[in-house]
This record gives sequence, structure tokens and C-alpha cells, in this order.
Amino acid sequence: MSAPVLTRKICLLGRLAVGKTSLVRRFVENVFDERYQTTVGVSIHTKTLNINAQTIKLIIWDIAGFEQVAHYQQYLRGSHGVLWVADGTEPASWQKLLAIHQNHQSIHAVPGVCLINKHDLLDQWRIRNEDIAHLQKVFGFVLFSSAKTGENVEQGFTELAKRLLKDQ
Amino acid sequence: MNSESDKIKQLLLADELALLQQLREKVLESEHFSEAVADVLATATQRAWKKDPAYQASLAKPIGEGLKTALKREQRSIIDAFVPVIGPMIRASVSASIKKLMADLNRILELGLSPKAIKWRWQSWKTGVPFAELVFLNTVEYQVQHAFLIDKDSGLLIEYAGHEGELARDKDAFSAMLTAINDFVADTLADDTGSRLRSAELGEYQLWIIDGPRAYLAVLIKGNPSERLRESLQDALDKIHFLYAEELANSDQYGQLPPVRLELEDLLITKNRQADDDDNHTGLSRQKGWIAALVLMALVAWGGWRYLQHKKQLHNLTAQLKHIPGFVLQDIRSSDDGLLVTGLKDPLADLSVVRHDGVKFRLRPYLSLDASLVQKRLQRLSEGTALQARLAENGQVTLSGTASENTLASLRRQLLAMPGVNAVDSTQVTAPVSPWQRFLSRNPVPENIQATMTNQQLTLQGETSGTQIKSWLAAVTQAFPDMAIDTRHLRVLPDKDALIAAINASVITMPRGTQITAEGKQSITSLADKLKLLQQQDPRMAITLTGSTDCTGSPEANQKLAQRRAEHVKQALVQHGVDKQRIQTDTKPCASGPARLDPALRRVTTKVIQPAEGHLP
Ligand SMILES: Nc1nc2c(ncn2[C@@H]2O[C@H](COP(=O)(O)OP(=O)(O)OP(=O)(O)O)[C@@H](O)[C@H]2O)c(=O)[nH]1
Ligand SMILES: [Mg+2]
Repeated sequence: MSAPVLTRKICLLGRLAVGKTSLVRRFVENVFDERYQTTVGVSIHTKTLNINAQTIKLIIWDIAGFEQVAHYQQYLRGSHGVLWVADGTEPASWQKLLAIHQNHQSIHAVPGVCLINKHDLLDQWRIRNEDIAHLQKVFGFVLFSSAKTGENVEQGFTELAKRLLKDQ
Repeated sequence: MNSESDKIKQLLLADELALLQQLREKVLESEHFSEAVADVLATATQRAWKKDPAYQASLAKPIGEGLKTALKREQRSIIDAFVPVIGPMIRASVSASIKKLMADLNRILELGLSPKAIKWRWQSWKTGVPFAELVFLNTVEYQVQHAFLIDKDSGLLIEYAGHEGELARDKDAFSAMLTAINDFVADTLADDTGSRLRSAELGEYQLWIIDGPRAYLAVLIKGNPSERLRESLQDALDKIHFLYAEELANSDQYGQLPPVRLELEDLLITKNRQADDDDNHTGLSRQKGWIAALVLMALVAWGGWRYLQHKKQLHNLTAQLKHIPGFVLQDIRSSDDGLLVTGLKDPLADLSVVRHDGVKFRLRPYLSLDASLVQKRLQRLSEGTALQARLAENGQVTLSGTASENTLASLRRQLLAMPGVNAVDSTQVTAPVSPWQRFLSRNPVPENIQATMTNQQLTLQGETSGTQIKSWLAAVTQAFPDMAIDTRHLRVLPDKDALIAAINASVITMPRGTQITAEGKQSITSLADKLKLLQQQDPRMAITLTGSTDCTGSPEANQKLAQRRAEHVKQALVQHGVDKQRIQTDTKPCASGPARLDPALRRVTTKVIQPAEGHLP
């Protein structure tokens, strides 16, 4: 008999419009939409992965950007992992991530992966090497991604899933 | 099922099947419509955004904020507003369960054309309500169709039981969404303590949420459930928490807990209407049924008894713990050797009633603002003073009793620093009665005397008679041996006997005729004072003034002179304020003797007439 399915809750955190919903849709449905529909509260998706003969079902909580009233905290309860999302064309987006990370001690125990999104917009790319080094130190694992081209989207979620398994 | 009966069904139910098909199309139609609107909305929003980038941020906040205020104001309608989020899933599931229901109904229809069935067919034809739906409405009170056991923290589905359908496929997303909504509601209504989503209407479905310590139960019910169902669901949830505490705490096991699933399956009940229950008893094999029922009852009783004992203990303990002021129950679970209670305990909380074998405690201290404990703390503070402190509901403390200003001020400070106390009312506190005041209430200061007490020094002022003041001062020195007494301004007046003696002894000499010497004038003044004092003490007192002469001169002249001397003194006394009525005069001229000049006999003597002697009224 194969190993039983594990269900795990993960949350996406990031500023408004960094592309959280777009990343989830690319990962779950493999689509991308130029239009922007802000998320109200939270939206839920699921996706099942196979990692080293272990089936893991991710319950993905796509939480509205921080700016939308600070009620994202309650959605974090019981979360097994966090996908931190920043926008490579928008310095405030990773500064905000660092600030939130610093203010929430309890989140440090939870595995995380950081995606610097919108990597397809190279002409507007503004993140510097020292920023990346700093993010790497704080979040452990950083990838450049693009929900538009699909670059590193699957890799980002898979890496987080692996860390959830290791974390047991 | 043979094709024969299928044909009959087709004949009997052609209309209903067509109606069902229509219904289903309507459902799909409305979905298409909503999708179309959603598309237009999205584009419109996007245009607005393109024109004004600030629009993004400015819109995001009001959405969340608006939801919160709206939810606070109108809980019911906002919960309805959430329905679209889970609505599509449920709607799809409804059509699936109608299909299932149809299959179930085949059995009933096959029973034949009972009078009831014919009646319902007639109603269906008249009202246009599908026959199957009518059968459901007429035979089933309610049916629990889906049961979700969901981890409160993560929203992960622990186990699920239910009829097939769309919902069953998306149950993980459904659980998470429901938890998010629930968290949102709880967070928004955080001030109304513990307010959570309890139920919501989803079309013809009722969504019920039963809250538990670690996991909650969400059930979808078709029909009209009674409140009693909620109780039995709550019981089932308690039982699951009790039996599977460890499993519930380990998310690795979620979805792989067949015993829990079985418990949930037990909840998928169909409650038939009473009348039809009666109809269902056909009387066939009733005996067998009885035997089976008896065996089952015995088994259930045996297992149930043990379980109930345990549950009763747990229930009693929980009830007791909940009523102990200053104790907050966080968790109660069974451990290897009994029950383990986790909670917060105020140092003053009394757990003795629940401390017995088989109950272990894991306690953390906290400060309770429970009125009874605050009152206890108040008592401790006011111990050793003559003050009583009473706590009112609004946190106001009322002090009564006696206290000095210093004691009161320091107590006030301490009280106001105490959590749970908002205000202190000390208007009812009286200053303490000093020993001196207590002494005075028993030994009043003699009349006409003023006694002032400053720094252990007693100052007396005024006039009083010796006996009165003497006995009072004796009492003072007995009660306060160390008291310094200042009597410099005290005039002690002679008392009655001394006065009488002094008055009787006074003599006014008149060396020539009725002339009074300076010395005689002083004597008269002093005599007048004494007389007045005496009359103050006893107004009936009177005197006789006796005028005398020596033996020079004729006896007639001497008699007259003696009379004039007495009158003269009387006049002088009246001038000094002595009552005329109380003065008699007498004479004692020279009786016999050598006619020589004797100044000692030229005088007026005084004698007090006591009332007992009967001279005066
Ligand atoms: N070029 C480019 N655009 C992207 C990418 N990811 C997202 N976008 C666009 O960025 C906008 C915002 O994307 P969303 O995914 O809705 O952002 P979000 O983080 O979910 O925003 P909120 O949930 O409202 O906080 C949309 O117009 C997307 O089309 C990307 O990788 N490249
Ligand atoms: Mg979003």
C-alpha cells in the first residue's frame, strides 16, 4: 500500500498586487491573466504533489495583500508553511516582507520560501545583489519567478513542500 | 431493477423528470449569468485601475474595512453574502443529491400506488412541484447529508462523511474556506465574546457549525432540523474529542481515521415524519426484531455504561471547574491515570472541591478580576482596620466604618492600584472616636466649664463649684493618669456648706451710726456674691440680717439704730443684685451691760435660713 496522503496548509504572504493570486493560478490551473482582481480576505486552492513517493495535498491560502486591514494574522493560524512573495520591480514589496517577518516571532518556526516575482519585467527589475543576500539570510531560500512565463513557479511551491516534509 | 418497472416509472414520472431537467438548466443558467457579470465587473475595475494607479491601494482597504463594519452592523445579511463563495460548490452538490434522492425514491415508488402516493401525484400535477421533491417534503423531516470534522486552527479537514457529490470532491477547499469565514466572523465580532458563526442558510440547505475545543463540526442538512439535533451533534463532537484527543492533535493522520469517519457516518441520519414512522411498522418479523433489539440494547448498555461513567466524570468536573471563580479551564483530557486539567488559576481561587484522586492539574497563575476574588482581596487589604469594603458591579468600592485620615488615604491609594477597582467611595467613613471623646460622652464636662484638649493637654476654663469639678477631675485623672491639666483659667467656687458657713461668719462693722467702712464695703460685695451663688444652688435659701448696737445711748435709740443698720446692709445687698424677697432683717440692740463704747458690737451679722427650718415658702 502506498503511503497515505498528507494534507498541509500553506499561506501566501505579500503586498498588494505582487502576484500571489497569479502564482497560485499558474501553479494550480496553469493559466495567467493580465487583469488584476484583488483578493478579498482569502481565497483557497488545493493541489496534490508527489515528492519522493510521498503524496502531499497542499491547501493553499491565498491571503489578501497586507494593506487590506491587518487581518491576515488570523489566517496564518495552524499554517505549516509560508510562501513569501515580493515584486522584483517594487523595492517596498520586499522591505515590507522583511518588516512583517521581523515582527512575527512565531512565524520563524514555520518553513518558508521567498519568491521575487514578475521576473519577466527585466527592464523594470530593481532588486540589487545585496538585497537578495539579505533576503536569503532571512528566508533561507529565494527564487526569481514569473507567474506570466511560469518561471520557477512549480519549483517554488515544490521546494516549500519538500521543506514541509523535512520539517516533520 | 427490470425494464418493466423502469417503463412504468417513465410513464408515471415523465413530467417530474422533465421538470427536474428544467431545474438543472436553470441552475446552470444562473451560473453562466454570474460568470458574465463577473467578467464585466473585472474589466470595469481594471479600466479604473489603469487610469489611476492610486485607485488600487485606495480600494483595497475599504473592502476589508467595509466588510468588518458591515458584519458588525448586520451579521445575518453579511453571512448571506458569503454564500456565493461556497454557494456554487453546494449548488452542484444539490443537483447531485437530487439524483441520489431519485434513486432512493424508486424504492418508495415501487411500493405501488398507495393512496398517499396518488394524493402527492395529484398535488404535484396541481402545483408544479416535482413529485420527488413532494415525497421528500412529505416523508422526511430532515436529513443530515454531509458532515465535516475540521481542525479549528489550520482549517484542515480531519474526516468527512457524506453523500456523493461535487462537495465531496472539493471538501478540503470547502473546509478551509469555511474556516476562513469563521475566523473572519470571530475576529470581527471579537468584542461580543465568543461570537462565532453558528448556522447559515444555503438555499434549501442549512449549514450548521458545532464548535469544539480543537475541531469543529460542520454539517449540511436538508429539511427542517430541530434544536435537539444540535444537542446530539454537540454530544457526538464531545465524544470524538474525548476518544480521539491524540489523533486530532496530529495532522499527519488527518484523512486516515476510519473510526472517526464511522462516528461521522453515524451522524448522517434521516429523520422521517412521525406519521410515516407508524406506517413503516409492517408487523413482519417483529419477534426477530425484538430479540435483536434486546441483544443490541444489552451490548449498548454495557459499552455505554462504561463510557457514560467516564463521560459523566468529565462532564461533572468540567461543570465544576467552570464555576470556580478565578479559574479558567483551558483543556481537560484523559491521561494514563485519570484526567489532566490545564488552566489558569488565580492564587485565591479555591480548587479544593475538585482536588481528588484521578485529577491532575497543570496550572499557570493569572490574576482574575472575578468580583468574588476582588472582594476577597479587598477584605485582605482592609483587615486590621475598622473599615468594611464593598465592591459594586461597576468596580466601585464603597468603604464604611471608621478610620483616621491617614489610614483612609493609604487604603484608598492601595485600592485604586488594585486591578478590578475603578473608583473608591469613602463618604460613609467616619473619623474614629478618640478615648477622650468616649470619656466625655460618659462624663460630661460640668456646667459652665469649657474643656479643650490639645496635644494631651487639657485646658479648663470657667466657673464651677468645688464638689462638681472635683469629682469630674478625679474621673479624668483615673482614666488618663498622664494627662496634663491646665486649671489656670478655672475658677472653683465654694460649695453650699462652705458658702453657708462663710455667709454665717460674715460681719459688717459700722463704727459710727450706719456708716460703712471700706472694709465693710468689701465684705458686702463678697457677701452678695456668696449669697447669689448660694441661691443659684438652691433658690429657696434666704438670710436674716441682724443689726446690733453697743450699750451707749437709750435703749429706744439703740433699737432704731440696730434696725437702720440691718436695713442699710439689706439695701446695699439689693444694690449688688441680691433678691430682696430673700432678705429678712432682725435687731439685737444692747440688752444690758456697762454703757461703754464697744466698736465690736456696732455691726450687722448674717445668718442663713435653710428651707428645712420652714421660714419661707
Ligand atoms: N508581468 C507580470 N505581471 C504579473 C505577474 N504576476 C502577477 N502579475 C500581474 O500583477 C497584477 C496583480 O496580480 P495578483 O496575482 O492579483 O496580485 P495579488 O498579490 O494576488 O494581489 P492581492 O491579492 O490583491 O493582494 C495582475 O495584473 C497580474 O496580471 C508576473 O509574474 N509578471
Ligand atoms: Mg490576490
